[in-house]
Amino acid sequence: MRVLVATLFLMLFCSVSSSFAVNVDTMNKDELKSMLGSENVVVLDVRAGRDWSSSEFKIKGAIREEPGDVSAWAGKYEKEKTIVLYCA
Amino acid sequence: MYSLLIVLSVTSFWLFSPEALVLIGNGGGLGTGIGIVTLLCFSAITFIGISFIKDDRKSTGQNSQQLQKQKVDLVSFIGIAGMIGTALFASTGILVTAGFTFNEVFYYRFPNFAFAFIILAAALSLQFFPTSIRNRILVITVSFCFAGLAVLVAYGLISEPTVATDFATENTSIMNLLPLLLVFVGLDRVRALLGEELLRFRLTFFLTVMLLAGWMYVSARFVEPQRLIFSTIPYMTAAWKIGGEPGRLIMGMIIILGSLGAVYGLMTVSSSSVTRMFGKKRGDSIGKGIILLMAIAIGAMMGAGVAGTTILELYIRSSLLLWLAYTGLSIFSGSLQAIKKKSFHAAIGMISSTIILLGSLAIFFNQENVIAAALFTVSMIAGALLLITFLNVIAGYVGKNEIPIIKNTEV
Repeated sequence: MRVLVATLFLMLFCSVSSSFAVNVDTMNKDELKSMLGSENVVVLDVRAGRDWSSSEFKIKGAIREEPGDVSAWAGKYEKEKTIVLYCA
Repeated sequence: MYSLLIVLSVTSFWLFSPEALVLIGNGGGLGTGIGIVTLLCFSAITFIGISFIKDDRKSTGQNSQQLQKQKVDLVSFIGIAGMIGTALFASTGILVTAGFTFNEVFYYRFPNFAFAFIILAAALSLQFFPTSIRNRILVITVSFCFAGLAVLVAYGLISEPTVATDFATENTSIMNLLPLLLVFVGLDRVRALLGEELLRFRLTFFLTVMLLAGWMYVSARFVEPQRLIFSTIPYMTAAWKIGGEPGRLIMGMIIILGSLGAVYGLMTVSSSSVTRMFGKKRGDSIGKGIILLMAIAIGAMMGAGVAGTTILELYIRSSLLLWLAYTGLSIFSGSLQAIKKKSFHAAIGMISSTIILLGSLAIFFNQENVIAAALFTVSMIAGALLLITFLNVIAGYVGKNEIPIIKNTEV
């Protein structure tokens, strides 16, 4: 877990195009750590390829979603909640 | 003993790679008995089959120009496309896996990305080391992999299992076991590279296959089938379940050293598949150039984030299948020649090549995105055609006074 916490943060949106397209808030590992477990936070693991398949760890409670298929899962999560995505 | 270890390092370059260990782990989840039997059958089919492949440099008595003409056919392009594709794409994936392994198992502050580049640099540097030093490093590398896996297998055998092994899941089918054929990809080139070391090759291959079968067995003793089947890192899950943190550390070392050996081996084998068409003098200089270009391409792909895309797995699988198909076609060709000589054993070669070819086709059509795989496959073959054409032009300038490496007096 320390591995994740140490490297965690984020790159909450590592997609360059997405970052340029919209203004997305980011948070550091300490901010996220303090929010973990809250009902109002949804953590999404959007790592792809070997970034995901070679890793032993994920953030506790994170939900895995396919980064290339955002439209398929974007509607599943309440917009009122804080949705945190991590990709590394 | 030392020469045996050198042969082991060549024989096992792919067998201890993360890719092979994933295939074995996934296979173990499909049923211990059927998984091991399938693994052993595929190893025997491949091993027996490649004995029918003619070593063109030894038996035909051709000079390099004749050899060049003979080799440039569609089958050769399939082989070159498969080998270079595997060297490029599988190495990219393997290196990233090694980076993650180091980061998560040994030292989380060190960036996985940087470690992947260090392994790539090490594999490239090895190519330019003196043979004696290179052999020592490879021997240490593969010996650790072999010994480490043997320790885990032994510990797994003497420990109380946590999972019943007499199972069969709804996923158990020959279609799902077929990918185990890919564990033995490259064995044809290993045999060609080892040349006269046939006895040691047989011994080291047998020992390694037995070890891998043992690993498959103990993995299934400690990890639930469904987890093994669908895991992308079954080797690490099994190592942790068997040996706890020490087991995880040992497997971490196996993955890192196995990755170094695999990337070095893939570079060597794929470049030799091209350079053997050009004779020794031109081949050596072309070979070094190809290896350097491959390392740059792999580094560029890692830098561009190719490993973080899902398409990489399709590229790796398709490249491996091209290589497997090439092996099957080569065995088929060798068996045909044996039939012409009315050799009784030719039937064995035909059976072997048929299984390998049908197996590679079945795996290919069982992929999720067959059209993309087909497009990639055609592109790789076309790329191989362009590469050879380009190298022929270059080689024409480099080695006009080349001395043929094969004497016409040899039989």
